[in-house]
Amino acid sequence: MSHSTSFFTRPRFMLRRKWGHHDEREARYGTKPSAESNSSETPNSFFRGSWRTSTSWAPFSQVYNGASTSSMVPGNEACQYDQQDTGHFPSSDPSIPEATTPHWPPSHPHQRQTACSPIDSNFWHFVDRVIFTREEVRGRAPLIKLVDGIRSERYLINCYGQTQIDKLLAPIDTKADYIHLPRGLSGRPLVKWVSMSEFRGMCASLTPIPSPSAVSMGFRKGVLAESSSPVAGYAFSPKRHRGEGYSHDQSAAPRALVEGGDPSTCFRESHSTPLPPPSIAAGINMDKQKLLEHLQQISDEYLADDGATTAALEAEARVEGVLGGFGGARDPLRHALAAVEETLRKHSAARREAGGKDWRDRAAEIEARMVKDVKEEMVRARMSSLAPAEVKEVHHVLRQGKATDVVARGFNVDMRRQDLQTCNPGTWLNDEVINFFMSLLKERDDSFCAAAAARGVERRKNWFFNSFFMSKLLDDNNGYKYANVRRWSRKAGDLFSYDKVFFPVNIRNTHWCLAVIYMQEKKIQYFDSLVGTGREYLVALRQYIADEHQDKKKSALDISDWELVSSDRQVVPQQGNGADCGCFASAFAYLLSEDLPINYISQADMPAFRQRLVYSIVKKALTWNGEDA
Amino acid sequence: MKKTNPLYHSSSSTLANQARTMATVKTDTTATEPKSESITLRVKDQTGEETMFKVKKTTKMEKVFASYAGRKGVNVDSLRFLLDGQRIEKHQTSAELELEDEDQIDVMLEQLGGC
Repeated sequence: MSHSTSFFTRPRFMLRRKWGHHDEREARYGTKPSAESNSSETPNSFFRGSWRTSTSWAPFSQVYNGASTSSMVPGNEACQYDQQDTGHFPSSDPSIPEATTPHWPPSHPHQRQTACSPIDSNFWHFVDRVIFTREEVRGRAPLIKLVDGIRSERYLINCYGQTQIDKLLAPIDTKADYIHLPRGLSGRPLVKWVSMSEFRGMCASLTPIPSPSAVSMGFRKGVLAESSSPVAGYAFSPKRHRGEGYSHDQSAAPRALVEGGDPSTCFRESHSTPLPPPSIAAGINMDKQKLLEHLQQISDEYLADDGATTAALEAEARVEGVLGGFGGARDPLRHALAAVEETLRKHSAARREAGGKDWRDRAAEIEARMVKDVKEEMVRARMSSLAPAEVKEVHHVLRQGKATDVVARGFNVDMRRQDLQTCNPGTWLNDEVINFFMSLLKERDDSFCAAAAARGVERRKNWFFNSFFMSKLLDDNNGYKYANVRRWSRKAGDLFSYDKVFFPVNIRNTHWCLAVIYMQEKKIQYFDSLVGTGREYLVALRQYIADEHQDKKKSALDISDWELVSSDRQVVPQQGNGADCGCFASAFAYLLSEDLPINYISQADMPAFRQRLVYSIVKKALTWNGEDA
Repeated sequence: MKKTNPLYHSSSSTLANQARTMATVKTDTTATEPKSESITLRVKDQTGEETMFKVKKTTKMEKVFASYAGRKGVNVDSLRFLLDGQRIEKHQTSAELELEDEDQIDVMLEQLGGC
């Protein structure tokens, strides 16, 4: 396959941990990476295809125009026929040689693995990392802006750390051949951090040298509806992404068929080969009969569900009108097609106004999805494995020296090596580790609150009890006993003013769980990584807050509307061995205290998390990838 | 640690009082500061059993811990001493902790968990 790209991607085996520098590659292969180095002879091109299925994606316009509509209508013959007929995506620009367009769909299985749609091969690649060429880098600031538009700066700073953000927004040296984006916190490049679905949107909305403000504003106002997402034929033109010398006729390019599809389909990570859209522009290369079918199909799609006869007839008339003029040059045809598309779009919009979803609703929905993706990435960053140097340090702490040496000191605790050694893989964690970690979380939470206050945002604090609380409250021997812990909240002050209160629970010296009281939501939830439901602890905690209210506030608390949420093994991630429950409990607290979802973590994250526990305890700070929390 | 009948201890604290034992931690400073104020601390374990320690306000808690561990025959490293839920450090004294007479210290055993 041929590519006319101006970037290279690093072989996987070299990328496993960190961003290296391309000089490594120079040393290894004796070639200096350059824009022209991507011929199929270089080792590079072998790896280039390796992004394939897991990262297959389609540009936004394609997703909106194509995947959504084609998924709505099974058996999209016109569209499929077009694929087979032309053998590749129709290019709207005849000046682009055929050879630069990879064949599509790939005919051979091997080719299928390595082929990418034309837009991919010329633009971004998702391998383990991306190195950006100078053209591509132009999209960077808008990327940030776009994410910024999605969520407040807090998210960015939380995710990246302030220094990273500063770096990213710093002026770019566009003379450099390659630019290393700072690692995202998950150890992956920034763009990977920006989720796939977002990125699709970006690709569609980023035109060469876009105005950053326009892009970010575009999203805010509904980039989906308003961006100059071109007709599909145009979108597939590789030239679009070369950055230089591109201009397109805005008037000729109708707005995207944004409203056409169901948003859920827009964000599906398609692992199958992406279908070209049944867009009107795709019909440029069709003969008359096919085009007629194609257009009718599109109009059917737009008008199917309400059967609006007038609108349908009108659209039909337009289609007929276009066909009447068929046979002329391509450009006028494109204009005419665009006009039809516009008409249909209007009808579609009118119909929706009558009783359908507003695009604002959809934008909100999409935003929610994006936030979800952002959160997933945040979780990934926090659960990521340590850098090799840090791992080395962890090993050193765990293995070198006497067992009784104090390796960390803080929160009135002398952490001994033997305590930390309970973080060794397959070992049961002890209370020192759990409680020290809870103290660290408390410390981090205070810093969050301070940062929020500095920005003028109010953030309720969280409180973390130690693991002895539950043992005292619900004694194995004595049962529930409030008097045992009556004074334990003295340091916390008014527990009811907190957002969440965390209780690590030790069950009969064999099992760790986590209970959380959501004070403001009036909810008590239990998280057990091994089947249990924790009913008794929930009931005890509900009784505790009632007693606490009575004792400290001198008034009875109505506990009838407090919700008790037992641990559900379908919801709470479950451990896959007989040793990691302490890690799970810690990880739950670690994520929940930051309002992150826990459902992204799994047993596979735990070995790394054990190291993270040790590292953060020794450093007395919760960090990830060297970035301060 | 001594296992006690749960029924016996669940009823009330007066019963638990019967299990009280008295102990005095001797300090080096006895001779030099005979007038130093001493207080009684109650060290209460998970079963509710209390052990009384008479200590000077300037005595480091380390001594109390060691003495308690010695009496119970357990390693001091496996014991956690808590005052109002907060860990007590070895080098702290009763004065620093603002302990008063008859104040209670909770002692917990090391906790483990994995499955």
